[in-house]
Amino acid sequence: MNIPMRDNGSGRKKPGRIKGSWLFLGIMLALYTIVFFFSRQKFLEAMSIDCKIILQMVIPLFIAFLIMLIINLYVGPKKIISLMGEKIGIRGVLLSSLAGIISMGPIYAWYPMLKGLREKGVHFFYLSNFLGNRAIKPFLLPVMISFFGWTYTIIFNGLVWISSIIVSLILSRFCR
Amino acid sequence: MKMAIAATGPNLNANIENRLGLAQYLIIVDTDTGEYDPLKIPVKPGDPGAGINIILLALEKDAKVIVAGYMSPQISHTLSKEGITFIPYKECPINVFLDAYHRGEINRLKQSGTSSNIKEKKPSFPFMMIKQTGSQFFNIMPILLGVVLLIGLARTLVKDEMILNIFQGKPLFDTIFGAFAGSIFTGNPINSYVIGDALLNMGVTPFAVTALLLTWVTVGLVQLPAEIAALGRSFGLARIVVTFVVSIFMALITGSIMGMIR
Repeated sequence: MNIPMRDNGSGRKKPGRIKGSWLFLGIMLALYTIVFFFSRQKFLEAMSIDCKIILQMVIPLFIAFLIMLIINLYVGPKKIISLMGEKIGIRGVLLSSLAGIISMGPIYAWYPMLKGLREKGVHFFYLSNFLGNRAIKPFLLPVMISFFGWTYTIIFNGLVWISSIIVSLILSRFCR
Repeated sequence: MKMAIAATGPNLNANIENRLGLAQYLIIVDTDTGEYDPLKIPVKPGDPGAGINIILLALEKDAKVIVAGYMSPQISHTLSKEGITFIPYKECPINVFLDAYHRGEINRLKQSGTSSNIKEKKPSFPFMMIKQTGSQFFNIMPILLGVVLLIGLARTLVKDEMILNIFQGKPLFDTIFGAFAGSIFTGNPINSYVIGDALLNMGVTPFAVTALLLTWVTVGLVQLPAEIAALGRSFGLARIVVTFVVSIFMALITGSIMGMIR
C-alpha cells in the first residue's frame, strides 16, 4: 500500500496566515513610515529613543540567551515535575518554587503535565506555587536589572515569590 | 493501547487533521480491540487554546499516542518526556493509517517530530538545545521589537501630561489601574519591562508600574480558558482573582519600600 508522506514536524505554517507578533511589528513599521513622511524630526526622535532602548538591552539579552541555554541543557520537564509532592511542607514549597522558576517555554506546554500531576494527587498548593513562580524568570534578571536596578529587581522578585506562596495557601484552603 | 487521532470527521474514513488545533473530532482508537470512540471537540477549531484542549481530552482518555499532521515541537517534546508519543501524519484517511500501523509500517516514535519512516540524521543534544533556545529567543523578538518601536513613537508623540492624567499619582488608584492593564496585556515579561521603564520615565509612580509588572506575569487572562481546561473552573478563576488582589497589595508594599529607599 502506498503510505502518504509524513510531516516531519518542521513547523510549517499555513499559507496566508501571518502570526500576530509579526503583524504587530508590521503595523509599527507602517506607523514609522507614515511618521517619516509627515515629520522627519519626530521620526528621528523616535528612532533615537528606540536605539537607546535597544543598546540598553543588547548585553542583558545576550546573558539571557546563555542562561536560557544552560537551563534547556541541564533541566528537563521530568526533573521539574519530580520536584513537586503530595503534602505541603517547607521542602515541597521550596522545590515547587524552584520548579516554577526554572521551567521554560510556553505555559500551554505545561498544562497537560499539571493536569496529570493533579490526577496523581499532587496538592493544589504546589500547582499554584509552580504557576506563580513561573513569573520569576532567571534568564531575564539581567534585562530587569538594566531597566530597574538591583534593589528593585530583588524586592520585586522576592515579593513575587512571597505572593505566590500567599496565593497558593489561600487557594489550597478553597480548592481540594 | 489507546491512540488519539485528530480527525476531520467522526469516523475512520475521515482524514487525519493537519493541525491539532483545527481538528473537529478526536477519535480514540483502542489498538488492541480495534474499537473506536469519536469525540466532538468542545471548542471551536482554531480558537486560542483549542490545541491544548484536544491534548487534555486525549490525556483524559488515557491515550498514549497522539496522531495529527503537526504539533509544536516544544509541546510534543514535553509530552514525549512523559511517555506520550506524538506521531506526525497527515493527508491520510484514518483507516489507511491504522492499517499501516498494524502492519508495523509506522514504528512508534521515540522523539517528537521525527518518523521512523523518514531516515533523518538526528542532531546531537547540545545542538538541539541551542536550536530550541534560539527558537524560544527568536519567538519573543517580533513583539519585543514592536514594543520598543511603540515606546519610541509614544514617547515622541504622546505628551507625558497625557499619561499623567491617567496615572494621577494616587497610590491606590494607580495601582489598581496598573493591575488591570497588566492583567489584560499579558505576554513575555520583557515587554512589560520596556513599557514599565517608559512609564517611570514619564513620571508614573512605582505603585502603578509594579502592579503592571506583577499582574503581567502572574494573572494572564488570555491563558484562563486553557488553565480552566487543565485544572478546573474553580481553581482557574480563584487563582486569577486571588492573584490579582494579592498583586495589588504587593505593588503597594513595593511602591512604599521604593519610596522609603529613595
